[in-house]
Amino acid sequence: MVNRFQNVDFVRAYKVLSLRAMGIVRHYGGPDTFDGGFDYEDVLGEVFHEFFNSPDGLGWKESKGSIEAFLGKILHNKIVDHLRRQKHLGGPLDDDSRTVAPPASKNSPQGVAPARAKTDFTAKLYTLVGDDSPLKDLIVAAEMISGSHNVNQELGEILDKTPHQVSKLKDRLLKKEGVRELYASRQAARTRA
Amino acid sequence: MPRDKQPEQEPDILDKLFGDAAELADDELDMLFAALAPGADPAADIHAIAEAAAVKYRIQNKMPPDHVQAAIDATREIKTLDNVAPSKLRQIVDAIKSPFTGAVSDPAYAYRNRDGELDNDDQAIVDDLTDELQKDWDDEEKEP
Repeated sequence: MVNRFQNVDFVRAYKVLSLRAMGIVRHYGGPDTFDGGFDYEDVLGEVFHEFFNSPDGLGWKESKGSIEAFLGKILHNKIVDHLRRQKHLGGPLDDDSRTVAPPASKNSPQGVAPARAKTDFTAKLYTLVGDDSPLKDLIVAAEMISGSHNVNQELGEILDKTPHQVSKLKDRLLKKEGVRELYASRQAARTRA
Repeated sequence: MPRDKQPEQEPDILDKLFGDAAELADDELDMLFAALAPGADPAADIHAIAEAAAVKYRIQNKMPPDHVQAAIDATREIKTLDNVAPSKLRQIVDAIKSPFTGAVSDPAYAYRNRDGELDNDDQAIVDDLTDELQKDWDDEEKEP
């Protein structure tokens, strides 16, 4: 009998979900480490742990969408939950000296998601690239697109560059000090506008 | 119809620049992942988690379910092809030989399974891609 999971690319799924996790943490302005030393990799590990420990893979089947999309929703909820707990407890969960969270007011019920990050990522990115004109142009072009499909193609059309050239520019951008940390939200909590 | 919709999240500048990870071609995804998670070994991580789950199933005298077994098989480190099962070798060969039928990020790949001759529109696309390639080569020659 054919194993219906044999064509699932788990390694690709892991990479996609790692990048998505960074985006979720960045979106909500949480630091990359939360809940007493937990970080997004631990949460991602938790997701896969639950998936493999569930005899039916948490009920996933192809009709429910790609494995990345399916596990991505679980990952999103878990990260938001971790950030929410951190916000309400004001410290690591295993720290005896942690402050007790005040009771939730009517305007901030415990059920709501953490507030969106107030970090101005665009301004921060411009600061990081400094006087590097091609990279500044890249950011300007990125502000003009939706960022969904064929990003390099879209950026290339604006910049009059090939997708390969755009890809190399992005590679150069990632090598700029602070850009990787900004993407991975490692400095997001300290760069609020 | 597959439901691939992710939780609503307005894209920020970094999402726009680097795109949705799920939409990236493998090489682009690998580049971004390597830059952002240096030293990470996703195959080893997946293998360890799946193997730990498999142990739990075996302790209960149960066979690991399909998804666990598939993950273990797919992430098992292959150091030599000498002792690899014929079924695994067949899987590797099939993966290399089989045409990619999904969406392609580069129009050039759309012709891989095409029968017949190129028409004028196709030729125009190929000409554009030739110019694009020339541009890339010129660009690389200029680099120190």
